[in-house]
Amino acid sequence: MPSPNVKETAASVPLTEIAGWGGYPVTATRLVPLLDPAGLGALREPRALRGNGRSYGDAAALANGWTVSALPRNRFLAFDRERGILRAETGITVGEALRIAVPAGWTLPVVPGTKHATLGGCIASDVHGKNHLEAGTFSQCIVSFRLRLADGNEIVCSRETFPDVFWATCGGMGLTGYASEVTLQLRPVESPLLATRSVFCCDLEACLSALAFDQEYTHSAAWVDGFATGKKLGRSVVLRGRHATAEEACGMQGGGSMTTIATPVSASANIEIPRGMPGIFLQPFAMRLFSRMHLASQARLCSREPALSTFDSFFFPLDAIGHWNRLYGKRGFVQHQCVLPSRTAAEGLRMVLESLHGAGISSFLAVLKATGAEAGPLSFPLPGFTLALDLPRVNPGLNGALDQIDERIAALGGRIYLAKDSRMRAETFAAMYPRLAEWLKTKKEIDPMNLWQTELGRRLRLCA
Amino acid sequence: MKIIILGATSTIARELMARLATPADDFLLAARNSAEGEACAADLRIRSGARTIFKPLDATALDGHAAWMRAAIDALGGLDGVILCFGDLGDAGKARRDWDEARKVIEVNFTAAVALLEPAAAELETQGKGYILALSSVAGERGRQSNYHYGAAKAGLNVFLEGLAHRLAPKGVRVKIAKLGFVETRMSQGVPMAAPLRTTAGKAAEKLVHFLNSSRQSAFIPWFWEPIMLLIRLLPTRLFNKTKL
Repeated sequence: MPSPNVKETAASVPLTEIAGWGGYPVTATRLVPLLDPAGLGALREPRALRGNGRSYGDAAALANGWTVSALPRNRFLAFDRERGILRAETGITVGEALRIAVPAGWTLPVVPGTKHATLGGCIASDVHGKNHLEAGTFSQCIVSFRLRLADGNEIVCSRETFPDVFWATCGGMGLTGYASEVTLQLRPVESPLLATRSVFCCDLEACLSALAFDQEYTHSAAWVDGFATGKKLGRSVVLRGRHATAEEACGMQGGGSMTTIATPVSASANIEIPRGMPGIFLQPFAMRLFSRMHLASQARLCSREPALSTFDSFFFPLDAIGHWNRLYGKRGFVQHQCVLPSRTAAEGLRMVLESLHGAGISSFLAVLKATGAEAGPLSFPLPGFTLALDLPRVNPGLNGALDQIDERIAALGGRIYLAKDSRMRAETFAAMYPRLAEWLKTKKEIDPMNLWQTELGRRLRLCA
Repeated sequence: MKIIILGATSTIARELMARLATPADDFLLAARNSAEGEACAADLRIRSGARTIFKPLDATALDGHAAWMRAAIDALGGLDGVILCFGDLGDAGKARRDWDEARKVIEVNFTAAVALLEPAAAELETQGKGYILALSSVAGERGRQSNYHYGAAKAGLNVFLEGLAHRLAPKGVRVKIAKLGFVETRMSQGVPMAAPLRTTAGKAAEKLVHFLNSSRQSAFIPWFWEPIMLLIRLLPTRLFNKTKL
């Protein structure tokens, strides 16, 4: 039974090719399940941690080394239904956690755009949701976690105990250690539904003001037409939402209640894109068509009356299409997500969209969200706006164009989201994250041998 | 339902339990490792709302099995079903040289199963209802050089279960044999097998639930192992002995 703690088996574990959600880059690695976390201490070789492989780039793989899958560690350990405190192993996914929590009247205060991310991945990327202005990043709902360090010892990290390690780990891309168990403070919800309303915005300025904080509708995100240019640049539909009250849920669902809506978050997708699907999103025509259709369908929902939406359709619309990443074909795609501070946001977002148009690169999906307070040294959000773009890898000028865009984002005080990144240059990265030195100091203290490594970490000199 | 799961920390067992358990059920989880077993019991309780208890079990402690099963049934307050999930592939190469390894493979896969299931069967026979589901293997269909100790133990288990089924069928007790092919679990880690023949523990568990609710006494899981193993069984010895299977 090979596991990374058994040295002799190194030769018997073949190299497997794996990739992140974007399908690029592909890394040949020795992928092994994490069966005995205590045994990690005996492994004196570099290793990467991997959850469900939902980060887009190279954050969860180590070329020609060990990649340890934490997925087998997926048990709920305790759930206090009165106080909403959940303790679980970190191989649990967001969807699994919601399936337990929501029927009991609780929810994760922060969820990423996919329910298939593991709790470990949520910690490592310090994910944010559509309610970042109000709820902050995932770290905000963490009470504490157990962290297995490079030396094999386990410590309990929280805001009080080992705060520097706690904050270095939230957003630390799995490079500080293995967070084996996490204790989360959930938030009460009255129903498994959300009350939503959407607004059509004809340009970027209208979109940014529509995304501003709303006391009542705390969740918001905009679908931006990636093909609109000139005056129409930033044409979008802003979707706002809040958790529906029990009354609303009953009234509008014809008596539906917590108990009658059996699965607030479904385990499977509506349709599944098969392996080997030709990359239809590589055709600009098809992309434009899909983009318009999607926006039109969203615009149709625009109304002043609140509508009701399920967790699945509000938080995880893309999960309805299983393996949608296969629509980008074998070569995969690059996701580019930047955040720009409020004062330079309009200028910066215009620059990003126009530069891409100028280089002949179009994006099917562009999502714009408002972001608030900063968290850990490598946490992504800062007060401003974040734009996420899916870019097919067809244009040979893509990397060069993105490098230039990154530099200008850095100059405008913005940064790139590591969970999405597969190609940023180390120099640009260092310019974007002013607290990098602080993070590196903690990394050096707890992992002087750089045993926790990933391809992303090597590329951005986080573990070199 | 009051169900005993033998080998409850195994990957398939966890997937199977998660699909079977409802808030109306009582599960007794048995496994060797107490820390892992307790965690699995807590997990099942939180996921399903079922009442769960953990009872440590060392499959190789053969003499204590009858008493163990009695105590387990008492702890549950009755018995509606037993699911045997534990197994040990062992190290086939080592088993050829090392009697301890060979004995362990035979004892865990066959002798321990007999020692545990016989008293459980007696309980079910008295009450005239219930089921025994055993996770066996396609390896028991024909002895092959790659794992014949394991295969022999599983073949023995299959014949034992057939006999048990024969005896208990008129009494209203169902004995069901699931012959699993290659499933991605802890046990199969590192065993090379062509991708199309592999299945995940989750998919295998779904098929096991279906099989449990069917009227069949034995089934290959997934189904395509049935024609494959039929071919392997029918292969003339002269040809078979030239293969590397």
